[in-house]
Amino acid sequence: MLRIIAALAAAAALVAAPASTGPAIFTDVTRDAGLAGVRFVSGSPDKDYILETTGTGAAAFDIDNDGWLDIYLPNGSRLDGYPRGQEPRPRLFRNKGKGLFEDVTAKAGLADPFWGFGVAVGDYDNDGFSDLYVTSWGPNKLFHNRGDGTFEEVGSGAGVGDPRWGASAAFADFDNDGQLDLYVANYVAFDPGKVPRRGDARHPCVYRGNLVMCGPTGLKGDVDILYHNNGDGTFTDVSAAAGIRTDIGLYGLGVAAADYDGDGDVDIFVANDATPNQLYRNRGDGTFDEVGALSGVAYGVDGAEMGSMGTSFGDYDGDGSLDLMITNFSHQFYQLLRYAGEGYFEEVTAAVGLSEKTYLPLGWATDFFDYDNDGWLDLFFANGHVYPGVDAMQIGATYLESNQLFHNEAGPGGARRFEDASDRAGASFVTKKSYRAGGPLDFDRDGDADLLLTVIDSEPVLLRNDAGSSGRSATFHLVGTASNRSAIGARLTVTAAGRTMMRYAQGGGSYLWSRDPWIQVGLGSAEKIDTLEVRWPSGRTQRFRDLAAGRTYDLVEGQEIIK
Amino acid sequence: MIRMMSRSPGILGMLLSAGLMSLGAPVAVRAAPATPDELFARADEALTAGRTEEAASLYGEALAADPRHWPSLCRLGEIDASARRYPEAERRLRAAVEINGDNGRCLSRLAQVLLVQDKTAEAEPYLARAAELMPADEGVLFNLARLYETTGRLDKALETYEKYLAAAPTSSRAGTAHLKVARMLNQARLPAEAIGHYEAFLRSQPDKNEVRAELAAALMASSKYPEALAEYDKVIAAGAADPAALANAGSICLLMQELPRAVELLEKSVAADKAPIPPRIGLATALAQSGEHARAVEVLRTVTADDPQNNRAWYLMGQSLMKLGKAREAREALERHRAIHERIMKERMTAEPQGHP
Repeated sequence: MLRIIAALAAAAALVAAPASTGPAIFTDVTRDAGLAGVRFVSGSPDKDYILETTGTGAAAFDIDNDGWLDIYLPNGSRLDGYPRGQEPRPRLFRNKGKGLFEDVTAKAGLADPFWGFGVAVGDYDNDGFSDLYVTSWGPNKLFHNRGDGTFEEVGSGAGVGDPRWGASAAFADFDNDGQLDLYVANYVAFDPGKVPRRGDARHPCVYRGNLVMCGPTGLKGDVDILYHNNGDGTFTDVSAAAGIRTDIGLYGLGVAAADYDGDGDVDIFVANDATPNQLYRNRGDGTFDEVGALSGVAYGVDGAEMGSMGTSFGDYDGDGSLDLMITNFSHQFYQLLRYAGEGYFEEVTAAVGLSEKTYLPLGWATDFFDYDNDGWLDLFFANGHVYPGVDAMQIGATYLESNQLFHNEAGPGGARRFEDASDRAGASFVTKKSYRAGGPLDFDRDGDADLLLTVIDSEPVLLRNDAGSSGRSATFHLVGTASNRSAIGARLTVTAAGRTMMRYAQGGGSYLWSRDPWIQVGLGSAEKIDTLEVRWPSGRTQRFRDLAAGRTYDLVEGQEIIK
Repeated sequence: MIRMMSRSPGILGMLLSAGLMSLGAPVAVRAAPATPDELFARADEALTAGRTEEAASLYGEALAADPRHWPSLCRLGEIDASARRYPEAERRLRAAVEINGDNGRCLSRLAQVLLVQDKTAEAEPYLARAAELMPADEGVLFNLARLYETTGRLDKALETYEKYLAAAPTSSRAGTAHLKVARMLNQARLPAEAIGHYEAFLRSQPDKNEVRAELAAALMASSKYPEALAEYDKVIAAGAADPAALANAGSICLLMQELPRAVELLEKSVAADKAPIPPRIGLATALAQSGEHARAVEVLRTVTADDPQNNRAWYLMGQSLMKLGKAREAREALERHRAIHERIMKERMTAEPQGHP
């Protein structure tokens, strides 16, 4: 009965939505775009160890400042390794324009194999080119972008080559000194010599009475790390001094960095598996108070720990403050937490219509994005279970799951609600796979948000948005000068056709995913933005007027002229 | 089989016997002494007609003529068993089986006699052999399934009950078998497979509310929440819901955000049995989600009074107190929660590895 009482579920999750007859919102263009041939490896297909279950990440960033988003995909391995020369390798795809990609991995110097997981994108040395930080089981990598299409791995020398098993990571300038710092969420201390294999008769690990891989429970969590950017190409681990928990490691998987309380500094939310989530409130100087329980984001609505995976900040209700989305393990609702002011969040998952359909899936990647450019932030969830044998457990969960797309709509009294749009979202939202990481990106620069997703033990999926043209949009490339050059932490307030929208350049977000923080604003039928206010991380505020829709703007901090 | 035919009177023997009697024998010719098979046939007729003593006498005559006449031994064993003379029945049936170990009926009867005397281990090989010889015999299959069940071999019990149900889907014991299969599947954590068997049992005995509550729990375990609630509703309507059923129904309503009903059911559960803590946590959650934070705090205080180490209760109390504007009390509750939870986390990380909680 304990389990029954603790369970949170809903009926409609079990009722298949009728198939839509209209055109699909997203079209799978993985092959046409040139991303075919990538096959992610995450250990054995049977998933004997927890290391093999969390999947690999992805990043979308402009390696050469040509205005087109390129794609980086780390890859995994297997515990018994591969013969030399046959290892799965990470891949870098350069966007040739018009959304067609070419594999430039070897030319870029990124072909060395390692077991990679999460990615953080940011111009850590403010040289004008986005760099790449990749977490790993083994030393994490920092790939410095030389600006000529090649990268140099400098992790160890820069002081960020930590060997612990890293998951998501986020660049952000936590002390507002103009340099991007780095937060790395570590998962569990995984030693295959010490962790029992699935089915080990001496140490059987069970889930609902069934033998499964061991963990995370019973495994030591590894502490997260906050690195301060020294401004000379190196970083210093300041975790303890900054108030990041170092006495015990929780099972960190997702990270999002954003100024949720609007006080001008960047805070950190960490989505932890099977342990409380953490919210580090920035004191204003790059040191933090952990306020997860106090602010109402640490646990589920019934006070239970959640198996949290992915997370993202966004203003779903248009009130000008950042709300928080969290994906969770199966048989736990995902959580939408609305910022209620004064440091507190209130859980609105059920009130906005997200509880019913998010109970059974196991969610990973998620982000707020306006797929139809109507000016309201929608949501997607990448789903897939960790136990290949879960179907046989007869608990209503399946290893392969479909993704979910929810459209933000006005409910009774004008309150926002999310309606399930998965049935008209296209094949990827029907085809069941075990999805993991990813997020939105406008890879073809047509003004609407596409999606890139990774699938464990399979190929990536690139989904072109074919519905976004129903609304107008404007895209902003922000370039910090006094602020960090990536402008992570910038807050945009847009007024168009009588509506005001806030968008934020968060660090990290989703799951094992990162993207250049270009900001796309859906404008609905508005032909122009009446006013745009940019609050830069440095504290500087700039205002612009009468910006035409349908364009991409380069906003350079301190410059009044928009290109 | 050949041995059995040679010893058994069979249809041919019975017809022969009947024909001789109807034709009669020439007066001048002295009747030949009856063969053991003829005596056996007459004995069976008597037995069928309910003349047990006569039958026993004739079976005895057959044995006198042929001490290895195993069909007669078998019948006498059956007569002994009917009269509850189990040791005698066992002796005779063993003797019969020793002569012919391939007669399913005899093997089955011996097994039954042994089972009645709690000689389960001895009975098993006879019953198993009988099931091989008579794979569609519902009595043999049922007894064998029950034997496996009582000796804890649930896989074999399950398989045999399923064979029984395939052989005798409309038998009087089919309902019982369905229930047994359902419970075993449930025990084997296969609730989705159990559901159909519960439903089959309830078709024959719809008033068994305790079984309906089991069906509801299996539906719940299979994540079929609306169907589970519908079954709980029937149990509740019949006035047969125990506190656990009320708590489960209430928690489903909580999951489905039917908050007033969740509160009502969980309150009833708690009123019926104040001891369990999970329904109280569920009730407090439902109250808090309904905006009734003062009542939620009231419920949570009963939890922390009974279980001061319940970190969830302290956390929920802190959240509700905050909503009530009682910041100092809220912080105290959250601090209690934090202290307890820290210890729990540390213990969990140093415990044996496990799957996901």
